[in-house]
Amino acid sequence: MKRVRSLFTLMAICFFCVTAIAQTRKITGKVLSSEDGKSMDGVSVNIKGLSQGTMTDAEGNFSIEAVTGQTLVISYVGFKNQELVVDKNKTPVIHLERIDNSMQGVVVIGYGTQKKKDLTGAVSQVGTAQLEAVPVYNIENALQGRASGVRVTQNSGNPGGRIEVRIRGSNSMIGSNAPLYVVDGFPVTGGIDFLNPADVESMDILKDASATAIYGSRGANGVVIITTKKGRNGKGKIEIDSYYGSQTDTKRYKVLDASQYAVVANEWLKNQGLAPYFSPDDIKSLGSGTDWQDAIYRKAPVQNHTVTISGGNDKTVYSLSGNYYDQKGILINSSARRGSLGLNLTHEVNKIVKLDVNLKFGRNEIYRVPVDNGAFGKTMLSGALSAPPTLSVFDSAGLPTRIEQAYSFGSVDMRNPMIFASPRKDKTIANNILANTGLSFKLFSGLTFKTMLGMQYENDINNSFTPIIYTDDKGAAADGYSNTNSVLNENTLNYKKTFNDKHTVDVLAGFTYQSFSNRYENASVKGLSSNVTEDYNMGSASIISPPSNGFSEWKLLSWLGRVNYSYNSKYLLTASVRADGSSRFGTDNKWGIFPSGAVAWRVSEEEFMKGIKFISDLKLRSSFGITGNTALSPYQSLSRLSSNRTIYGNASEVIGYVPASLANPELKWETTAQFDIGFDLALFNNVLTFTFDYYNKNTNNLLAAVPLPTSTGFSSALQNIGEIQNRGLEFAMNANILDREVKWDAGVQISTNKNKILDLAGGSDILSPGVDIPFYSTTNIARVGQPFGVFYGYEEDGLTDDGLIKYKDTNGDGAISPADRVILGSPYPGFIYGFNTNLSYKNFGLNIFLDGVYGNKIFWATAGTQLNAFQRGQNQFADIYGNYWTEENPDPNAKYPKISSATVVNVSDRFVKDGSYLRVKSIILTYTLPVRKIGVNWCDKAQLYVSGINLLTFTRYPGLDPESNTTGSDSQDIGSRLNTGIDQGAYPTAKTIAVGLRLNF
Amino acid sequence: MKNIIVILSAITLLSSCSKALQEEPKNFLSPVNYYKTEADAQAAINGAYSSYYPDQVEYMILEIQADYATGGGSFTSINNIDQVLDAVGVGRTADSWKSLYIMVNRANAVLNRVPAIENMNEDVRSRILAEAHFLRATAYFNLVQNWGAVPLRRTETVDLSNVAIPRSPVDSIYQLIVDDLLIAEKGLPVSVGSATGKASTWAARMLLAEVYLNTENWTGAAQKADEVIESNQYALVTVSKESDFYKIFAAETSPEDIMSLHFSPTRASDFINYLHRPNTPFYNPGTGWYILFPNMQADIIKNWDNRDLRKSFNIYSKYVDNNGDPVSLPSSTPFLFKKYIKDQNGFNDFSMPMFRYSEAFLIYAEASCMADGAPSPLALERLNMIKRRGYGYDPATPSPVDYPPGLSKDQFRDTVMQERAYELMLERHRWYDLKRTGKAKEIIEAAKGKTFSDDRLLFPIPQDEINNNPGITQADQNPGY
Repeated sequence: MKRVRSLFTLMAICFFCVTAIAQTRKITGKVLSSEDGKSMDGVSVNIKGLSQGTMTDAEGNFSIEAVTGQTLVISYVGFKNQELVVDKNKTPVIHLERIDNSMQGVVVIGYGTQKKKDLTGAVSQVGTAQLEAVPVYNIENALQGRASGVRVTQNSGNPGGRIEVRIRGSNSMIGSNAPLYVVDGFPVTGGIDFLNPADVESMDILKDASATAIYGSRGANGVVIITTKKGRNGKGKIEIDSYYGSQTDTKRYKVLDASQYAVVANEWLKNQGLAPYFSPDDIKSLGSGTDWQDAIYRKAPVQNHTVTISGGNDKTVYSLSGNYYDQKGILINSSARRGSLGLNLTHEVNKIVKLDVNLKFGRNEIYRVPVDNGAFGKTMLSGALSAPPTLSVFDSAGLPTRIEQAYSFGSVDMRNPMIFASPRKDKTIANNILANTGLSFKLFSGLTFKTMLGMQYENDINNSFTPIIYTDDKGAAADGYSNTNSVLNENTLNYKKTFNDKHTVDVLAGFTYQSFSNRYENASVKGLSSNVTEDYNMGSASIISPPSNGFSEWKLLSWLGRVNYSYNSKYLLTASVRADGSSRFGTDNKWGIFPSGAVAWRVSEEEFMKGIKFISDLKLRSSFGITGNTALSPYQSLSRLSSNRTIYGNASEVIGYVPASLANPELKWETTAQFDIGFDLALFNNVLTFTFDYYNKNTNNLLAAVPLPTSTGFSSALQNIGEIQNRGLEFAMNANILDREVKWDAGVQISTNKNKILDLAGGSDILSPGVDIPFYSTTNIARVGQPFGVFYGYEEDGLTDDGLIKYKDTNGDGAISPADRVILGSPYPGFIYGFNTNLSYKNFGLNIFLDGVYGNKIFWATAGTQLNAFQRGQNQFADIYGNYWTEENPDPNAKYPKISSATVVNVSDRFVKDGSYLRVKSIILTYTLPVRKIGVNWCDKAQLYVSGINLLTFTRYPGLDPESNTTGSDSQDIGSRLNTGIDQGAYPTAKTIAVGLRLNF
Repeated sequence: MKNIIVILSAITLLSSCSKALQEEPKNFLSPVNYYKTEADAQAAINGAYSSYYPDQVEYMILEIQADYATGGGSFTSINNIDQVLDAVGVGRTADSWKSLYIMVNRANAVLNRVPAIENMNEDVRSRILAEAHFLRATAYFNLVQNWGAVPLRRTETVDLSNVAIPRSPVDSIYQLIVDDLLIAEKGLPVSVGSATGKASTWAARMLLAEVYLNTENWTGAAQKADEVIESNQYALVTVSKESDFYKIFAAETSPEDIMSLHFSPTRASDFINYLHRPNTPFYNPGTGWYILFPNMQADIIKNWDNRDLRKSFNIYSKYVDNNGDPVSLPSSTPFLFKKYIKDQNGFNDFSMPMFRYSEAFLIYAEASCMADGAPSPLALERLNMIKRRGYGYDPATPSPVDYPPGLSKDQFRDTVMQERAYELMLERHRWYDLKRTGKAKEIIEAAKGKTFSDDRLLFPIPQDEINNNPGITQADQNPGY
């Protein structure tokens, strides 16, 4: 192919040399849209067979060097290609037609694609334009507020931190509730934070059973299908996108200043019957003292650079992208960096065989500093909140002041937050390789066979080092390694045919195999002799803990089949089934069958609807299906022995093996049955579109540790007992309000989800372990009839005569006991919403995106830690000053109780706060430089943009960030999973202002 | 067409690897791939032995409920002998129940799996099985004494088919215990050397003697005690001053040691921490939580003869600090126990006795008196041997402190009870002794100054058991709970 082309070029050059210059001319032309006559920007105009080409500018004009007789190919996404033979003396005007008349576009569904208008399931699509709007580290963050039914929360502002995605509520009590991520056809294990967000072309979110059942035992939580950019037939493109930004904190806690602290400290001492520490002169002269939060926060830079080179011809399409991302955290000693490289290549080897190669390499490095779930001196943020403002950050020797030793009324739990600063480190490096190759064979008319072989390899290294700061410190170091390997082989046969122009049938059958294995090793030591070697020479430490390691693997075999039938694009039917065999299930239940069915009726295609002009499209659809959640870790269905030790004499230990868990050969997946009904409506020629869904999901066979009588020798056994229901409504509306000189479109989505436990093993409540310091008691409960993890605690009733907190005797038995606890609120919102609007005028563009939640509560544990803290001479929130109970002025309704060690806080309604918020998530202003006008021909597009992320948050929540959830965990223990919606010293999210440049060549 | 056939057959071949779905764990063991060799059997019994260490918290409760000790700190509520155990106490006894049944299941696992092992030395096998019987009997003896009628599980729990088991009558439980110990006695070795963490035939006989005392099989008890005394394996340690008792209690083993719990610096006992204040050399150079102290109001202590070396050995009010000066204990804790101490590095790694030779003498004295209706000269002699040793005299020669002959059966029994209190103080016998002689109410009321509630005689059946064992209902709970 290449040789022919070079020959041609050679010939063309010869022509050029020999014949008159006049034969190669500048052809100018214009491209307009055939539906409204508007000029089209960015349309590719190429010379057929050659790699030369250009693009139209904002007025739809193009100019290209061509020879009479050559053919120009004009192409643009969503429009039918056109060809034009170059004719002298003609300035061609080309009208491009849209490919679809109604809801254009194609969605990616499991194992295939489907036109939007033929879709029977509930699928939301988020495309490049929306994904590019918010520059982020993790692409999941860009989903926030974009798709109805999808709730995305950034649980902690730690750079590289965890993002929690929930599609239509949470189904499982101990299994994972995260959706399945499929990247270019490969179901990924682990997260997707290795992906470069700029690489992502679209994310298709499969929500209902008919869309997700094809993923069988992994589909119950929804599926997010990520398609990365593949390149296009046409002239090669180089795209550069760079931005630099600055992040600052949005809110800080107000704490007592030095003179207020002194007054409160004296009050505490007085209430303990001790003499005051600070004299009245001291209090006058102290002033505001040290601002500890100033010492730990910083203005932090963020930058991101992506280069994408793509192009192709009608046989080969490629896209190569490289990215570098560097973000420092707004709290010191935290950061995230990532480098990634991606290559997608599609090549038609011959008429029958097509080759697809997708390679992704990513390496990220994250430095973490302890912040979340902190109390007193255990973490940086809680340390800064509790440090006395009367002390300075560093002492005269330049070391962090030993605040725990400064005052006799102080507490040994306090720590100077600066001990968490460098050289202390907690670093994780993750290397990720995702490699996929697929071959597809066009067998005979309509029949395609595809086989894919893919591999994902992840290697994580964690290094941590605690330095010696004071002379009595020992220092510690730990290293951990983890390797994960996953192999996938998929084979599918697809048959697509239209009979009699009316009946379209699309049949899919396939077999897949996926395996996963993980090995990890950890070593930790204490007692370093100096800080110099950090964690690089752990063998020289004085106390070496025994190393630990582990191994696990699982395999999944599946059969799948699906039929899509469409009659005249009017009546649509989908049926699918998947059989999954997983090694994790018990011997009696290795295989599970997951069927689904859906119907849709395109009402707008009916004769009686043709008269109603303002409705351009109306589709009613409904589906029902069964999906599963694997939920189990490997080996849990087997009985296990564990080892222990005993001593018979002479202090020598012997090893013993004892039964540790019972086998349950019947363990199986959790089953979710989901019913969905909805409609898609488009009015006024697609100017206004609506999508609406109602769904009802029932998950049963929930995995839970069922308690056993302890006389069996075991406390519990894992069984499939329990049922949870999720029901909700989803609504999305998009409007193309203006489309002239000024373009304006807007979209809004609202969704609700109600979660309810229908059945628990034995019917009795399960209590969460709650928060340790300072409560040491349950915060959440699982109870039949309530959402999973509602808050559970005491109700307060003012203060007692002694100034201590009084609790309500809700059960009227005359005593305050754990039986007086009631349900205090739910961590789940009544509804979540997002609003997006784009405005453009000439070369300027403005995009505003808002998102919010309403009706959820947050357990503000940070306030609990602070209030309890004055038992130990620690700093308090400024709010208590003048608002606490005193003996001189005993007010039973004072906001805060007596400042004394007798004051004990409990899990109560004092700490359950409204977590509703509306956030201006991003505002982006773009200016596209008129490169053609100023005669720059080597650059196709240059755009400057300024973006502000998280600029404003409207909320009543008194904590730092209403999105926080420091205890959201993936633990397998129900108790720990119940701890949800808790904010204890969460790392707040930052506000970012960034400036960027996009260049296309 | 041909291509399709090839592809389809390839797919079918691939799909027949459902064997691929079998899990083969690599980092842990499962009964499926274990219990195959003699080493496996030994490891299994080792695992069962690790449960032998009695639950420390139950230990505390048993000592505090009796007359000569009181509890402090989080154990203060145990002193309230006029009420049933509070929520914390109920939780603690539930933990103890749990660990006892774990021991039962581990012993049952050995009895279930070891007989099927091929190519195993038969002597080793019968010893291991005998040890399993011994451990199971130990667990059930604790359960029946503290909870009364408990569910009797004789087989290893391998699945959920046998979860519902009702409380068995006390007699049938004692029958199982006696049967187990008779088998154990035959299969256990005559000597275990210094590894007294392992059971010997004498340990089994001691336990059987204690069981017979409870079931009032006096001849049986006397017989077993006599066998141990005449075994030629043990000897009473010579004591001439009170610190000589540390030859028994601050040592790895001693001539008196029939069976004891062994520790090491990395596996230490917590119990000693309960007795001491921090930094009271030489008894405790380390931390101490001092929540178990002597009840000086108890008659047994008030009437303790000062010449009895065991008095100054067990209880102290002064210690010698690092400079050599005597220091009195602070007024909040004027008297503390010092029977168990830490070593000079601060580790709780001296052995703690489970069965001692001296107890055999006391069992014989009581049992033979009860069997004969009056103390025989041999019974009296054996009782006196312990008293003589306690006062620092040679046990074999008569001493000025000997008990006189001519005591009635009941008087003699009371005397033996008193001697047991002095000799076996803090060795988990007193509460059981008071219970089985029916003297608990009288003596503890006098010692603690509160009315004794009979409901305290038994621990409550754990709520988890009632909730999850269909064979036991709330109505089956012990009185008062």
